[in-house]
Amino acid sequence: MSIKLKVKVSDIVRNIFLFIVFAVTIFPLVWMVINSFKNRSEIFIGPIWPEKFILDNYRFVIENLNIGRSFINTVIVTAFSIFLILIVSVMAGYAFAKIKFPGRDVIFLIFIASLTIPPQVTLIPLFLMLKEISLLDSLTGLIASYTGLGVAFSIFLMRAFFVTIPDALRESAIIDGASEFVAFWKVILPLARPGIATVAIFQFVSIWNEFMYAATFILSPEKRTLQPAIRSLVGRYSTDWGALCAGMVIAVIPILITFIILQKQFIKGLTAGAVKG
Amino acid sequence: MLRKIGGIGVVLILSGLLLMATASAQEAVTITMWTWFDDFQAAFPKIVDRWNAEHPEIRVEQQIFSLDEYLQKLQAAVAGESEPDILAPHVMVRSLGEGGVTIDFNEWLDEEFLNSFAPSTIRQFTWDGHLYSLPWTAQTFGIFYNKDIFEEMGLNIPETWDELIEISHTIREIDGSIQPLPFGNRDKWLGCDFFLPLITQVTDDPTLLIELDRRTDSEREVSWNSEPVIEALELVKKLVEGEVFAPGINGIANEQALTIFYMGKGAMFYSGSWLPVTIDREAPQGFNWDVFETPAYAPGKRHWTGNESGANLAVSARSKHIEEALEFLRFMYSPEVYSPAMVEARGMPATMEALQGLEDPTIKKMASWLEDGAPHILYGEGSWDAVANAVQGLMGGQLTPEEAAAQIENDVQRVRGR
Amino acid sequence: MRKAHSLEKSQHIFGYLMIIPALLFFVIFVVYPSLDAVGLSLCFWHGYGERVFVGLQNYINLFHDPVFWLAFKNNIIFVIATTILQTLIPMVLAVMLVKNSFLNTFFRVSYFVPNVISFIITGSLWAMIFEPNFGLLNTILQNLGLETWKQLWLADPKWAFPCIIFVSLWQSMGFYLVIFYAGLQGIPEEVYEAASVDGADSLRKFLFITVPLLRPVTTVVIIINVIGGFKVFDLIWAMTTGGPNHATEVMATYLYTLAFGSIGTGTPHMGYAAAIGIMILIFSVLASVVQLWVREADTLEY
Repeated sequence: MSIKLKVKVSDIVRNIFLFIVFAVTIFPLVWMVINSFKNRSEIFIGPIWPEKFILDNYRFVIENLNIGRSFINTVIVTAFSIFLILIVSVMAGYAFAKIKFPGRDVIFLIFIASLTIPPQVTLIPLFLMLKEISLLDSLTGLIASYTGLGVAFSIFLMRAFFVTIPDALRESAIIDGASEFVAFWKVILPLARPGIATVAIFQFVSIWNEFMYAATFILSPEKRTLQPAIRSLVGRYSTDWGALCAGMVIAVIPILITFIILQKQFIKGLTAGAVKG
Repeated sequence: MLRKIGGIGVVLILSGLLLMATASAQEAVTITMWTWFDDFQAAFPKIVDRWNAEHPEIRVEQQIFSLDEYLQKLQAAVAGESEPDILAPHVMVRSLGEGGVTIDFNEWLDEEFLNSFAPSTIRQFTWDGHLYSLPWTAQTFGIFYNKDIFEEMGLNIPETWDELIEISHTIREIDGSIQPLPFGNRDKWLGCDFFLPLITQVTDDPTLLIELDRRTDSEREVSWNSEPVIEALELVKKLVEGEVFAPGINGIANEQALTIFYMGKGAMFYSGSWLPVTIDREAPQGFNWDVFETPAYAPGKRHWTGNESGANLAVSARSKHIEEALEFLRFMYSPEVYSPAMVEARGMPATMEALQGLEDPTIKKMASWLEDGAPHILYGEGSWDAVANAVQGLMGGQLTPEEAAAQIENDVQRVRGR
Repeated sequence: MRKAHSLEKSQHIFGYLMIIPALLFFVIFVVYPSLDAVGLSLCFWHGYGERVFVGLQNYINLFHDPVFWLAFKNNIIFVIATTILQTLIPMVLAVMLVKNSFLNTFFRVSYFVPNVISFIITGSLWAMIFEPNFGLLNTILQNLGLETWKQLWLADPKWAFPCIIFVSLWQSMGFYLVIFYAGLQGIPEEVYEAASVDGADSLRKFLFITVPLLRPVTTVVIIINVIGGFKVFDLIWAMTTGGPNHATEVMATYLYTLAFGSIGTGTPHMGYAAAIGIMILIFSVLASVVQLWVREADTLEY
């Protein structure tokens, strides 16, 4: 009897704690969503819950910001960047984790070192280089830049995932006569799904939200991506917070949906991996 | 299988992009213009459309960006020698001009055209006889106030800063929930705009600030760490201690302070002539406001106020179409284009003709203060950052006036010594 | 013997082939601009006109620059605070949420949501919450009767940094939670079951099984935190632009101010800014090398 009670109390405490964290986590975002339905002057002062919800902000954003175009541009850039990053970093991550070759650790360390470079420093050098190879003001140039920037961290993560997969799997495949590539493709890769899902989600978030490079490397209005388009609402002397929040809500929804979907993939892959041991 | 589809997709999209790129390369003469003048969001496209209709052989494309994005883009473009034909150089007017990136208008435009501007606005952008940008809007600062609050509390328009402190006390006594003057210095620039004209108020000599910034006159020894500057800083401190502003001034953004003002929680608001159009856009219906002159340092002294234009236009010296760009500029400044644009954006014009034809009472009132104009924009190396940081420190109570003045001078010396 | 040798060689070739695509992108879009930035740090350049080679002059100037060292100090504080908070708290949360229930998944997904919001919104949202007169925080404190707890928050040099650290934790907690959660999946149930049989309670299981077995993941998390702490920019820029009067200045905000200005700058110092960037790189690499060295010293197998 008393043991059951103990478990219940600690469970309740645990849930309360988790719920408080949840409230603090979620609240500013709920506020942002609410703000997107409020008139701009009511956002800073005034009650949290508006008297009436207005759709003007959303209408404004959709009509004035050419948001359809920016949305498509961002989808293109993000999709292709993730695609390239995944191909490239899964291959390299595997090699760094499981294959021995001279110079492996040194090259890996150089990748890690590149993570420490603040992007503000390479903004202008990268701009100048893109200009040199005629990739300035193009989505292609932006995709290539994001790929280059994303590989180091993605390789870092993929390698960490591959390391946790036992060497024995690869070794037994090779002993059975498979080539290195077949061992990679057929045996190891299917187990790397959680890692791939993790990298995909992280890259999705960082590329989708990236502002500085997108704003600087894209010059023509029809190639603009989402973040610079929404940030244009931040004026010199005043900001239309209602519209800005509406824009941000529009920008955030795809990421949330993707994350929720990938989360399921994530769990599926993880439990499958755990059962296999 | 998925890979194949993806691969084909990549090729398709890349080819599509290539086609788009080549298509846009076959155009007539195209002039590009970049600015950050968000007040002209509506007016600029109209001007451009009108021009494009009348001049099919010279096509103009303009974009207005938010300021933080704009500055970054501009610098990258300048570094890559791909800046637009017409640009708004902001504080980089002088360095871009002296660096040969933008043209000297004195060499390209005739005197008659240049004389059509208000003299102070041209003077602002002239260095050693070179004119590096044209003023788009002129500007003065004043104190906007809530007429209802003033009436209810029976307040008089203050003539001096001391009087302003007095009415601040009155306001607080009558209603503690109303801030006398909401002021947001989180972004640093308003504090600068507020403080710098005060130096001229103390000395009645507008050339002092210009010399503090430029340091080109070898006969004259100036330093930020000097009496006039310290006195001006003392005045700011007096205002802070007089509880004219709300506490936590460095944690409030300018637009938050503005919201406090037009939601009726603040009695006054210090701002420039860009404010009327913003209030029109944002304030609730029935907000009853007006503006009065910046108070003077002491009774009988001049009401010096900041009068420098932040919105200015330059032409790239590396442009292949300088003549065409100048043609478009002339078009923009022609009375039948310029005046309506100014009226629509409720901006203060910089041309004499438009100034004389002003009908908007508020802008007209503020324009009449142009003669009492004091400099407040710093172009020299390190000046603006040094002053901005020190003023933040002073207003937040971390620095005394003497310390602030010394910090400014030290910062400037250190930057220029590099 | 020969067969073993050629097997090894074919492994080498395979390894190189696998990393070449990554290297290609990496060299062109990361290494080349970075080397350019290093070269830039050895010059005076305003962003237009000539680059004037000045050797190590920028670094010498940096050495004597009190603002830079103030920024550096702030970075150290930030790195230590965020690394501790952003490693321990997500780890504990991951352990609490490891079981596969609907509620747990719900919490895990919601904790991740702040990470998905861009910095400009996060910074501005929290700046509004921290606003001294009408902001949400002080208003709530007032309504709860806790007036003495009210502060000037971002305007107060003592509180500005703690506020920023809190927001950083708020935003990145879910991110590290996901990483720890993935790491926890690699620990088989049997290990815990064996411990239960031996009579261990939850706390002992956590301290003596979970924590040691999570070592590799924890190392990853710590390294990411340290690196992120040295180059932090967006969040601080959105909330205070390094103010008031340098109270929250870090190396990256100082760098940005020198290159692009906080309200525009009359004369950008690109070379000097690049030198600061290189210093950030050097400090982070040193910190990471120390980290990895410590880890190499004791790897764990189970």
